[in-house]
Amino acid sequence: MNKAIEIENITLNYGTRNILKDISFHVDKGHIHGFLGPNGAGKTTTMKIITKLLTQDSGQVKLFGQDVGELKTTFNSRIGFLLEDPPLYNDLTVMEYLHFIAKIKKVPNDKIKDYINDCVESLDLSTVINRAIENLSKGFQQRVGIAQAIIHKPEIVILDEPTNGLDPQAMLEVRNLILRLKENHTILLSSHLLHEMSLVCDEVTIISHGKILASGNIDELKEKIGHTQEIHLELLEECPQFEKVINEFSKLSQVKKIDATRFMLVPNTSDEVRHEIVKLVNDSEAKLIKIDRKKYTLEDIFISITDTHD
Amino acid sequence: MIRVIFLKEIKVFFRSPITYVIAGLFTLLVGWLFFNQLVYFVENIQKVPVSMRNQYDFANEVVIKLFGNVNFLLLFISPIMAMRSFSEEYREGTIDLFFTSPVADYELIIAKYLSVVVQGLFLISTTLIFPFFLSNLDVTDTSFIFTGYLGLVLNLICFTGLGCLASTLGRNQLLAALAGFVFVLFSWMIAMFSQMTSNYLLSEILRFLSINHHYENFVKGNISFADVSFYMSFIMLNILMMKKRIEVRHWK
Repeated sequence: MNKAIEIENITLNYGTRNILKDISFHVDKGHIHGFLGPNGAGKTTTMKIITKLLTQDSGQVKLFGQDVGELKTTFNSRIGFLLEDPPLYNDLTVMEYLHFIAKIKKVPNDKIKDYINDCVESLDLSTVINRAIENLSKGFQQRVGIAQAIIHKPEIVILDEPTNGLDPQAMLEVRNLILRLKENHTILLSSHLLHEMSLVCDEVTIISHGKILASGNIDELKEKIGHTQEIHLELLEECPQFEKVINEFSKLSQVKKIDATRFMLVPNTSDEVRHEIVKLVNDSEAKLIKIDRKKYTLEDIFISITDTHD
Repeated sequence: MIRVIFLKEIKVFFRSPITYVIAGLFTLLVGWLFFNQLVYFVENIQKVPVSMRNQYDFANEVVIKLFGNVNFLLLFISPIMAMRSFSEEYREGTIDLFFTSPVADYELIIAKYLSVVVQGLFLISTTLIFPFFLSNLDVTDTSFIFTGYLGLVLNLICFTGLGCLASTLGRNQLLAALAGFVFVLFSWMIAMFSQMTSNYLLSEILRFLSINHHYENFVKGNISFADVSFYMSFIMLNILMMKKRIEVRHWK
């Protein structure tokens, strides 16, 4: 069984509002899966359904091939969840908090100390272990939030916008931390920060207005939208001959003339084609002053996919 | 699990400076009321001839009135003590920690409820100094003190239960306190409605449903099975309603 989480045809309505519309996707075991979408797309709702905080109207959630309803006693020990705002008790110290969480997660008494130590070590919390949570920086509070999600060593960790509101340094720390977690956990990670996601995720699922628009490996998605790069070209002066040959060039799926001297070209391949375009420029005796290649990012995929569906 | 959550709640309660501010104000107020009643009693008793002084019962004039005053204060303090029990968890999102952990709803409810009751007992315990004063006086029958305290504790358990129930309704603590106060006041004053109806049966039912009616029996030193079972049923019903409220998340 290679699938850690399977979401099958989940639908959720609040009154007449369709919050989730028949969504399906899966998360592979040992992978970091990004769950992308604008605010209000249904990311948190989906995550709450996976963790049984909400109940869907129809559809099924499976963990390791078993329906979550069947995983009565083992469900909570196999899953860890961090909400957008970490659920912290500000009056407690980090040690007291982690001890309390370990207790309610039913970590065996003889293992609590070791589990806390593992957590403190992997999240680098030793310097703040005896400090009250309310006195910690946002970055450290986020780490404590992640600690509560992994303290009982769950197989699946669900992180809802874990880098939200963090400064760049703290974001980097959390990102590295998530990559470290991958060694022992399957991670479902939601965010609307696409660049962040592209740095850590193996696969992504894109959701918008409660509908899954795409799901899969980032490179596969690039292929799916038909192109993976753009070439921006600028000539010194207008050249009709060049326009004619570039429009006939077989490796381009789109030629867009921005103005008399500037072009945006979309190759129909992911291979490098700039040298061939330069040759066409030379053959048509045009005067090239600039040629740039822009590889498609996750953001471009997201915009392209959401534009198509809007 | 109940013990773990209960101890966490108590730890947070005793760590908060507000706890000691409330306890200080409560003690000050009760002390002032006790002192006034004592002065009033002494002034009155000095005005009457020695032969008639046995008509002025110290227990009735001072102690029972003091219990009444403490009980009246509990009407206001119980919802305030209970207001944060659940609504703060909802507001901070920490309630999801319990919902995503192997914690049964009833364990969470009992632990929270118990911790609020213990917080109330801590406040009531500050009044124990007054019975200590009585031990220096020539008061022969002190059984009403025990039953009076028992009545107070049972009232406290009922009031905090209503406060906790109000706290499960939403994430706003102030609204929880207000709703709790309305619940407590209603349960206290339901006997008043019994006087408004000419229907004997309805009047008796309303009177029986009032906490005040049962509390008075305790203060007078009369403990009956009916009173004890009323309190027990009230507490169980409260817990059941809290559980139903918490289970709403599963309802479709």
